[in-house]
Amino acid sequence: MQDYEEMVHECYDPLIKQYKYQFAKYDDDEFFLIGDGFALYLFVDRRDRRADVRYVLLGSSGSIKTYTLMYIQKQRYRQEDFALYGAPQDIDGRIKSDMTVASAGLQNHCQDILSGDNNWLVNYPDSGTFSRHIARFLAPYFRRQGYYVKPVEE
Amino acid sequence: MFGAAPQANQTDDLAKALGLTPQQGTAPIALPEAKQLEIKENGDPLEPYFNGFDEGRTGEPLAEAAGQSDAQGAALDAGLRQDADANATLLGQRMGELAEDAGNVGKIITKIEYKPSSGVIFKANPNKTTTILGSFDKDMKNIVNEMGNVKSTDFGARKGGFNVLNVPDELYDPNTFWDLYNKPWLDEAINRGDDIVLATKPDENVLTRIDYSTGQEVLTGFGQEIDYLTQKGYVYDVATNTMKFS
Repeated sequence: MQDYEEMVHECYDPLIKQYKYQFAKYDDDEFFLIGDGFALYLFVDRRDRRADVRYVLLGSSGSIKTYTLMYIQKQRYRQEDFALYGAPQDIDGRIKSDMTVASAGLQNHCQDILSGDNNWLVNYPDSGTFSRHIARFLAPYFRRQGYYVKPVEE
Repeated sequence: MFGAAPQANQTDDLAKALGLTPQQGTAPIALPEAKQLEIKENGDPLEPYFNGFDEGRTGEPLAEAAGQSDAQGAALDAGLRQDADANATLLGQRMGELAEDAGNVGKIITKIEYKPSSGVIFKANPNKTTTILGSFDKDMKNIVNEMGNVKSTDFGARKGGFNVLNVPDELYDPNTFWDLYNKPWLDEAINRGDDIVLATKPDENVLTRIDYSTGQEVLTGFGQEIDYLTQKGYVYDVATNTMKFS
């Protein structure tokens, strides 16, 4: 099983440095870039053989929810972002291209999101979903930042 | 896809799927193969070395025979041994993985502890195959791992057990995967009348995604499955988190 950590660093290090995210590895194909009360959730879907990014927010009630970025990407990403996909020749090449485009689009058009401004979620089509393993993993990080996080049931 | 019927040559089948042959990567065939392929080093044919190895000679006399120094011969020995060791180690690891997988291929999984995001409790129907569908990152990854992550193309019944799609990576081609593997796997489940349980609620945000090569919204693998079942007359039953034929 391939460990995608290096690939994540190659594609997301500019964001990590610029926004001073804490990098956290869940396993070989799930990673978090943790900001103040929010995180970017990077994952490789080994079933569809693709990579993607979602947004994780610690809500005011202490619950951790995950949101798709698809609607934002459709709205804000431009053809020049998608052109970065290139012509990958194999599965890992496609996964890296996915990461490259996702990262570049965020950096080019989503400074508000990357900075932790959550206004984009007002009237957003996705009301967020709870994911037990994400909440369990991120809870200690957010608690260390001084936030209240609802206990996650076993 | 899990829980295939036990077969005598499962390891061979898996090895074949991975493009391995039992000899591949071992030193005894590496040299003749290189010879056959007329592999050259620094533009010079390695024929003198190969001839020497055929006769059981070591690198130093070979280097001498080829008009090169003892040091180069020793380096040749070391390099070849290193390659052979590395290849043997790699082969051993991969064959070990294959053997481990082969041991699990025939196993019918009857219990899954993982609590999926849909909230459904997995309970296998003792009289049927129970097929599980869901979003990979949200749920299926954990389910597949709990089931041993056995990759297989055997889409047969697992009466009394669970059935998930998990084919070898080597077979994945985005242009053909649906037609060659995913659809036939789902057709088998439909034809058998499997119970079809959803580990993930079929919300739009898990059924669709951005195709980063085009910018277009497309169906995820899970989305394609739900779409296909809907075309075949299935509907989502919210109360049971299953797809029911109507």
